[in-house]
Amino acid sequence: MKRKKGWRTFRAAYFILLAAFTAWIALDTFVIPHTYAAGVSGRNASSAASSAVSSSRTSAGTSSASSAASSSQASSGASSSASSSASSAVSTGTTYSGGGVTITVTTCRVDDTDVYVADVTLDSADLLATAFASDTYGRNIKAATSVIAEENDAILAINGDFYGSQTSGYVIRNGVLYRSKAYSADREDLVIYQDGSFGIIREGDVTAQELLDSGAEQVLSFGPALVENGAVAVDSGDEVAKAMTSNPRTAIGIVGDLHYVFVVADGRTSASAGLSLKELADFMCSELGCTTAYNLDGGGSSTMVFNGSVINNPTSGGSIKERSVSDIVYIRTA
Amino acid sequence: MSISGLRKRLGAPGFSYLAAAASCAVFSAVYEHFSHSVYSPWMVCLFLWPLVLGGVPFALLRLDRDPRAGEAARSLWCCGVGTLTAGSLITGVMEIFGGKSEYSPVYWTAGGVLLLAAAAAFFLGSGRAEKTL
Repeated sequence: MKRKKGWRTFRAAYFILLAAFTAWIALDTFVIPHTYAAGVSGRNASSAASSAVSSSRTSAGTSSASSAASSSQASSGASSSASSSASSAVSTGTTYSGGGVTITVTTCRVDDTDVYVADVTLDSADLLATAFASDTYGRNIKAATSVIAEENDAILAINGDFYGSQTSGYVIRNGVLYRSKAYSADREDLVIYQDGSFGIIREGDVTAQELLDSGAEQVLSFGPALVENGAVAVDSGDEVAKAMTSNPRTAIGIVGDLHYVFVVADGRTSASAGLSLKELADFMCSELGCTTAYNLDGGGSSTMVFNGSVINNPTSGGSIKERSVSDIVYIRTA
Repeated sequence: MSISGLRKRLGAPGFSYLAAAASCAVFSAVYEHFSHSVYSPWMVCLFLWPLVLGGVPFALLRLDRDPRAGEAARSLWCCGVGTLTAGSLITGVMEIFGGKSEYSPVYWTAGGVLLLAAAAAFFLGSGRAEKTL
């Protein structure tokens, strides 16, 4: 009888421990902030503490990855004809010109979804940058895209790859290697080189250090690649992880030398159904003329900020509001 | 049939496992409903752990009536099933979130060890039960 009672006590104690352990894992994964500093190396490693590194690059302006792309841009709004090297910026609600940057933002209707396209032309590859939330590399260190954009004086920003939700997957930002652990051999990463050109790599084919050594300035690990060598790289069966249907999306593509498109699609609302990866890839390839395009973190994270304002309808927790993310991709002025 | 009648027919352990399976099914259905069509087999099949590992042996085969299934074997088995169910839950949550859980192997290992220990207790109990006959 005493033995029987002992086993029942063991069982009760075990389940209390199991519940406590599981609760701790949930907190550790989603709530408790962890700042990581180890493993930092790179061309700009001396500035590694700051994510928005002002890199001292010497090469800029030429693209090796992008070929001639016939751009049938969806952009239509006000033209941005000001000199891109002008020191004084000219800005409207949908355009920006100055400081080596020309941006035109347009809204399109694609497959019952509002899609926001920022057409970006730069004078220098240095103007395309990334930033971490709170300027800190770590886990559960998050802030709204608009907040990170404001902290970094971004003219245009989209959410990044939410590297902080993973413990693996290459992270190279502004010429600094932060994480060299591969997510999986077939994970496709977007590499933005020092000259502003784009490339798609599989983490099983190359190490993060080799990428850094070959001139990678940014490596974003989410995916998949939407367009490669001017052709759609996904089919209707491809999806992000376990996502099965249309969703809000964020993507970035290159059209020509220092000519990019930032794309955010609404979704999960009565006004916008969202896009599948195939629909997004078709749009970026056929309509925007991208030679390379890459899918970033979507869903509730999808946010585009232009001139300090959120221009899309991000959905988070069932309402229209921004979700906090780990990082952004943004455009700054010279 | 009333709940107490069902409990009597299935036995307390079998009834508890089936109740746990039903709770898991409801939880995963609600969780998946709000996950914007992001599915994880670990979450969808959460209920299978208590149903298959608990409901079948205890409610169907009535192993609780077997003299070899002593308190030790039953307690260890229960802890093992609970651990595997919790592992499935945390893996499912992580997959729906879009990540991988580095802690999942802890659950699989601990759950497996507990089930093996329960099996050992059951079969060691077998010899003891035969001696007492």
